[in-house]
Amino acid sequence: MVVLTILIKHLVKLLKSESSPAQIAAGFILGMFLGFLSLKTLFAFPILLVIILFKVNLASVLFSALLFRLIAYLLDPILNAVGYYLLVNTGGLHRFWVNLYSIPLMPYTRFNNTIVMGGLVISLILSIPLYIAVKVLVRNYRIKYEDKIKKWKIIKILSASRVVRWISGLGKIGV
Amino acid sequence: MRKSGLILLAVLALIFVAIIWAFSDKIVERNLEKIGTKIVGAKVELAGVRIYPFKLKIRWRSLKVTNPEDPFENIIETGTSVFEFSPRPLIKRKFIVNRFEISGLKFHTPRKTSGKIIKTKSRRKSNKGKKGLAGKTKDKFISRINDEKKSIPLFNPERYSFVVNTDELIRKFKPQTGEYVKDAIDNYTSTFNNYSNNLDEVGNDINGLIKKVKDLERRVENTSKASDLQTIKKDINDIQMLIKDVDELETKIKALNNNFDKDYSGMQNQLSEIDLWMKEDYQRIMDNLKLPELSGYAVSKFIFGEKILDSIQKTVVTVKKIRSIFFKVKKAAPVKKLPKRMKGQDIIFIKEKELPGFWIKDLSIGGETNRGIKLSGSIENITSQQRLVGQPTIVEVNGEGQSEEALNFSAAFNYLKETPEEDLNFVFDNFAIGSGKRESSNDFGATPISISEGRGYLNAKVAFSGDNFESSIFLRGKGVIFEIASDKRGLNKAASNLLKEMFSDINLVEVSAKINYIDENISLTMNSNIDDIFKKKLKEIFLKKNQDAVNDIKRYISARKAEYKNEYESFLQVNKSEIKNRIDKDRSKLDDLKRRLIAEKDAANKKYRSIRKELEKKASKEYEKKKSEVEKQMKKEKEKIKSSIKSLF
Repeated sequence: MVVLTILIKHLVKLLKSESSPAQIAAGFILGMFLGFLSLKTLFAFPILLVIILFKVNLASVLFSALLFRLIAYLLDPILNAVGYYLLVNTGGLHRFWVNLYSIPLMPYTRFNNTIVMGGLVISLILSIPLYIAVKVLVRNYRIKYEDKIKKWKIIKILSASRVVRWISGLGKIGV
Repeated sequence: MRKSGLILLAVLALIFVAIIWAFSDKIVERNLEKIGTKIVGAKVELAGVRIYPFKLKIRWRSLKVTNPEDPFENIIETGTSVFEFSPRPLIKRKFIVNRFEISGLKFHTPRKTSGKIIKTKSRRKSNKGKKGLAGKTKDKFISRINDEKKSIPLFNPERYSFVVNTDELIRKFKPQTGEYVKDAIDNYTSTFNNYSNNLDEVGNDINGLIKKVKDLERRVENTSKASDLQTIKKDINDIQMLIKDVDELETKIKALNNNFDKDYSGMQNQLSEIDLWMKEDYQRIMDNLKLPELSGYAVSKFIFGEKILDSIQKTVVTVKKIRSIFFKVKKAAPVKKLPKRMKGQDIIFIKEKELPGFWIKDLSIGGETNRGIKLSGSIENITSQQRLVGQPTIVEVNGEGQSEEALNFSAAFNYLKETPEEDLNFVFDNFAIGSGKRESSNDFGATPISISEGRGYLNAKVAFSGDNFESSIFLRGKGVIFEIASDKRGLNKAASNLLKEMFSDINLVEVSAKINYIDENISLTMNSNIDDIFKKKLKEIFLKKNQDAVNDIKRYISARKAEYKNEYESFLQVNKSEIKNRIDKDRSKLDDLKRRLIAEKDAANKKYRSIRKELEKKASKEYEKKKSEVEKQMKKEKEKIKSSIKSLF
């Protein structure tokens, strides 16, 4: 447990310098993909690879993964319906899916699961707009609101908390 | 790109490999347990899983599959098992096992801990309380059997008294002869009364005659002094009239007598009718001493029916479970389901001439049953998509026991067509039916009958096609000994003893049954040698137990017959004597009258003749006198005339 904590801390230190709005936004988008698709599909592997190899904000990834996991739970029927529609009701795509499924390793992506397909499609649709939006949000936050919020009592209390300090040690999400 | 990321990746990769190396066995074990539990619906436990990645082999030391219906029992348990799979299909997520060996297979072994799994709430509609086809089929059958069972003495011996209460029986079926005899007596009483009335009339007539005769006699006596022929003549005529009346009465009495004799003869014939009536009464009583009609009932159905249905039901449930896993209806589009949250629904995309997702080409089995029968066999082509394989799943298992039991189970699961078909055939020879004590497996449902000993032969076939199935079962038991549980179902001692007596001689049992379910119509037919034996035995026991009753009835009938005959005979005798006496009396009276009248007549005739003779004599004298006078006168006149004439001349 101690070793794990140290490992994570070093990892955090390694990553905490990547805190530009673009990096935060990128992390957010990648987290969204993870949240919608989950780690049990092969899609998770390239996403994690990108997170590890490229300069994206890990805290942002974690935050958005958790957030979109919750959203996916709530939107489960919609994801299921979208996935079912694409996989079953679009007759024109059937041949494509069949061929795709017979490609090696593709079955491990579980693209033939309605939730996975629904999550993938919605993630793809939301990726560009959300990237732009987060980027703008972070930029504006830093320019307009960061100083004000730092002065809030609750923020001061939280900052003093060991948990928060540990979390902020993970990548400084603007605090 | 960050270099530190590359290093991290390398470190993670190493850690990953190390984990896989160290824990892959556990991971695979966990995953297989998870998949197995999901399929079975109860705990599946693997132990000693070992992966041989370079040989592409997985081996385990033991596998325990909990019985979903009994969490403290393993439905199957295996010993060391090993399977080899093909590597290339794995990259396409196709699990192809070339060779699979299971050894140490056992069935229904006990568990120390519960194998029940706590099911999470599903968004799917609960099937709790709903019965599937197999459950409904069995319920329908059991309900029918129970209805029919109520009328079978064997299963309700306390309702059917096998010992007859003679008095009750006779009272209930009152002999008719008494009524007939009474009717006959009433009938003939009126006949006798008629005769009596007629005789009264005759009597009155006779009395009238007697009076007339008396009067006549008095009159005649009075006229005896007179010598008036006319009077005498009149008396004679009167006597003649009276004699005529007497004759008429005699004729009447004679006719009465003849008619009475005729009628009496008819009455006497009724005596032989009494014999016939009593015979009918006896037959009627004996008829009601007979057993209830059993020709339509197959007793074997009630003894073996439930057990056979249980087996069929379990087979149906098992086959349907297998079908739900391995038979996928080729539909235009998969049906939209309501899966658990975040689980989604897997849509299967099948390419023609592709490998199926799962395929065990050859599974060889070795194990032992609970009876100690060594099993060996194989199952070929266990697959998730039979159409891709192009072959049905074939099962062939043989077994041999130490006591020369032989077992063969063969089955074909054919899901190549639109309609799934399964053919199962099971043969079990020379198995011990009982173990010397009562076991639940030898119980026959709710009946109080079980078999404690015997050797059996069983051949069971079930053929499924879609929702329909046809099955035939043949069971033979040799040297069987039946046990009757007197504590079962409130069976009293008498009934229990009765059943014991019935089954004591039966040591060979043959049962054949056909259970079909076609287009939602169920039919069950069952035949057994027990049916005829049962009927015959029941009748024997019944008559034997009731021999005393039969004798009592015979004695009763004889006694009553004598009684009725006596009653009837004495009735006839009494009335006959009376009538005959009266007839005789009247006859003698008439004879007496006639005699008297004849005597009077003779006397009157005699008197008439004598008086007539006198009168004739007298008249003759008078005549002569007159004649002579007349002659004299005439002479005188003649002389006068002559003289006159002469005077003239």
